[in-house]
Amino acid sequence: MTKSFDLTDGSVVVVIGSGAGGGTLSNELAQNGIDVVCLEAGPRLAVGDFRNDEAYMFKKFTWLDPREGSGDLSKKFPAFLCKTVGGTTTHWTALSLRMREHEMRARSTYGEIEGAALTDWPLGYEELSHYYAMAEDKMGVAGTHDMPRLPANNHFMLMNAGAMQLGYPNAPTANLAINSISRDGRAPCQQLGFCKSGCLMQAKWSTLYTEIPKAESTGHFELRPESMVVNIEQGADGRVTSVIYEDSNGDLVRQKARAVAIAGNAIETARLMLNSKTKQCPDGLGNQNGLVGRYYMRHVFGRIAALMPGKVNMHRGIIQAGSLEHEAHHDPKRGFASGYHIEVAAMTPETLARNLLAHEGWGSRLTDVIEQYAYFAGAIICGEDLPRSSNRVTLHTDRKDRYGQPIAHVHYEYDDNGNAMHEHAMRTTENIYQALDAKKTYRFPASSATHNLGTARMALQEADGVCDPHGQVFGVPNLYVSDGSVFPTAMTANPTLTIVALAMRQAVHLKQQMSGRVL
Amino acid sequence: MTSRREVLRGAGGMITLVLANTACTFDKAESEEINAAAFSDHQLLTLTQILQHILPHAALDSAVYADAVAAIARQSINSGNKHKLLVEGVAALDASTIWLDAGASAQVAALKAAEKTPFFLSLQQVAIEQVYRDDRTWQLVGYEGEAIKFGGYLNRGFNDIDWLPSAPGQSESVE
Ligand SMILES: Cc1cc2nc3c(=O)[nH]c(=O)nc-3n(C[C@H](O)[C@H](O)[C@H](O)COP(=O)(O)OP(=O)(O)OC[C@H]3O[C@@H](n4cnc5c(N)ncnc54)[C@H](O)[C@@H]3O)c2cc1C
Ligand code: SF4
Repeated sequence: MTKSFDLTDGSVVVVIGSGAGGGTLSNELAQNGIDVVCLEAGPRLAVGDFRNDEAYMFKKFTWLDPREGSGDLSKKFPAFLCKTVGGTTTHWTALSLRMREHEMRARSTYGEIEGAALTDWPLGYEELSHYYAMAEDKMGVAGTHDMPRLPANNHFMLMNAGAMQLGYPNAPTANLAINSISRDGRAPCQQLGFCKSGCLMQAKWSTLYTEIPKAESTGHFELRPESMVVNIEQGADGRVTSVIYEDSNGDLVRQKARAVAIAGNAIETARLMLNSKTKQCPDGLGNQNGLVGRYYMRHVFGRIAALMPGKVNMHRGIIQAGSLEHEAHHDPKRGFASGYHIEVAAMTPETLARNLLAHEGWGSRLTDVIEQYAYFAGAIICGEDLPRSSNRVTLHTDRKDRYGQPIAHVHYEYDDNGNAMHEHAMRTTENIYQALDAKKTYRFPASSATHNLGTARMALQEADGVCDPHGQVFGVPNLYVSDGSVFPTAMTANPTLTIVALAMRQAVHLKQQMSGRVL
Repeated sequence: MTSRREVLRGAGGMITLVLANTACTFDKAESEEINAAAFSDHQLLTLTQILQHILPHAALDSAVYADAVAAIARQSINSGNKHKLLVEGVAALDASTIWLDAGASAQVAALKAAEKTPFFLSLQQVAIEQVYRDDRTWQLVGYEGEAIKFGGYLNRGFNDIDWLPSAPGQSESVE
């Protein structure tokens, strides 16, 4: 029942990107009988194309077109996201946590912090909770609804045991969008440990094999892979009229649209808005106040590996099986606002070796340690970072990508709050492993961002943000943003559950607007 | 040092490079490609030996290092820069005496002196990439690779850890 729409059909909603935000929005609209064309820059892989091989799948999935980083970011590879149908949900590790109520009121809770553009979210917690429940149900989040928790693997049992030695309470396995039982036509997790390589069991939620085929089965949806949107056009009345994309043949094509929703993952979303310069918006769509691209957030992030006295075999089973929430609360006595969580994060020998180079150098010191791979544990810390106007995505002044578009420049610097939190989190994680007599712990060099947020923040008023509380771009009545770009603050949780919840909420809003003929 | 002619005399399609402590095999197609990239056998052997110093796994089949160098050489075919970096790096090591002829500790000392050069730094990265993507290395270090072929670890030790202390007031592990 896959449908195809005419390029001149101006009744379709064009969704840009097929990941967490775009895939979800597309399906929610199509289920309601709204015609959608989804333009996705990457190719469409089948589950049969997946391999249990991290390096191989990295090359298949990853967005490798150039970007540039500065500040505390890698210059060449500031952020890590995917360019494939399903977006980064093909690769993500499925931790699905809700924002906490106090985090939604960040400005009220944390108070004034110098340099931070803190604000409260422009919607209520109760309303968001309603959509969280729907998103968890859609994604099959273990530990919610009818989905039992997943069993703990060695790697998480170890972390939890270490934390308990320190006096923290027993913790369950994480809320993961991974089937513990057969559900939604997908198999339960078999603990392969290749969640980042496209889950061969399809136990892990990815829009590639959930939202996209479901949308196709409605007869109201067309996916166009290998279609890179380079420009969004605006009419004299301020409404967007069409998008221009480069198709798989390298031809530039114009698709007319009734409304456009951008879900390219915050950096790409901001880049596309900035690159879409029109008569009414000469500095880019929605950028009349110069806010597009600002307040970029990526979470306070760090990685640690620990050499343990007994075997762990961290590669066995779910990569991110558990997350400790013991330090996720807001307690300014620790010397910083907001909190963080500590997640287990298994890694391959290659990743371990790369990151230990800085500690052990090359030669037998390094190889002696790598030969104890089975005794290693790995963790990630992830905490709330604060929005800063100077952390931002801009267009590169002279470098262009292969589509002829200026590439994104991403500037990000940690602030005092972030540095204090980072240190606290790294020390706590080290203590957890040391409580179990770790022989050595290693802090890894900074890594590329996996969470990208805030570049088109929502606000109640145009002066304070790029989008209204439904993700509609101020000043452009039929242009929407449907990904983590709209987050006004970062919260401690990993972003995807919130992106999906907001996309579901946006779909309800769009439907109302369309039936009320506002759109 | 082994000359190209001796190298090519290997049996069948296999070409064998023999070195005091290294026996490495390049298959025919590989060596043709590599030759196209204009690496001399001396350069290939030198690179192989460097890799063994960077990542010295005593129990690892030395073919792993040779295969890694073959792959690295192949990757440099279409990149003049990479090729140049490798060739010039070897030449620099050989500047006063032939590096490969030196004893192991002298070789390591020379590499130490070169460890900040772009040649060494880039070789180190590609060495890690090649050696730690090889399932012979995985086997040695205890990484089990592809899991779908045996259906995952659900019934194969994903939760077999047996050395953790039982938590205070806690009789069984978490759910
Ligand atoms: C290693 C890793 C682990 C992660 N683990 C977790 C986790 O455990 N929990 C969690 O909550 N989050 C996790 N994330 C983050 C998660 O993947 C993202 O939050 C989520 O996928 C973002 O959804 P999105 O729709 O904004 O973007 P994506 O899912 O990245 O999708 C964006 C899509 O848009 C396409 N696109 C971009 N620009 C254009 C254009 N101009 N034209 C056409 N198409 C375009 C891209 O090709 C891409 O397919 C992880 C990320 C990484 C890298
Ligand atoms: S561990 Fe589970 S979620 Fe991860 S790849 Fe395997 S089956 Fe999929």
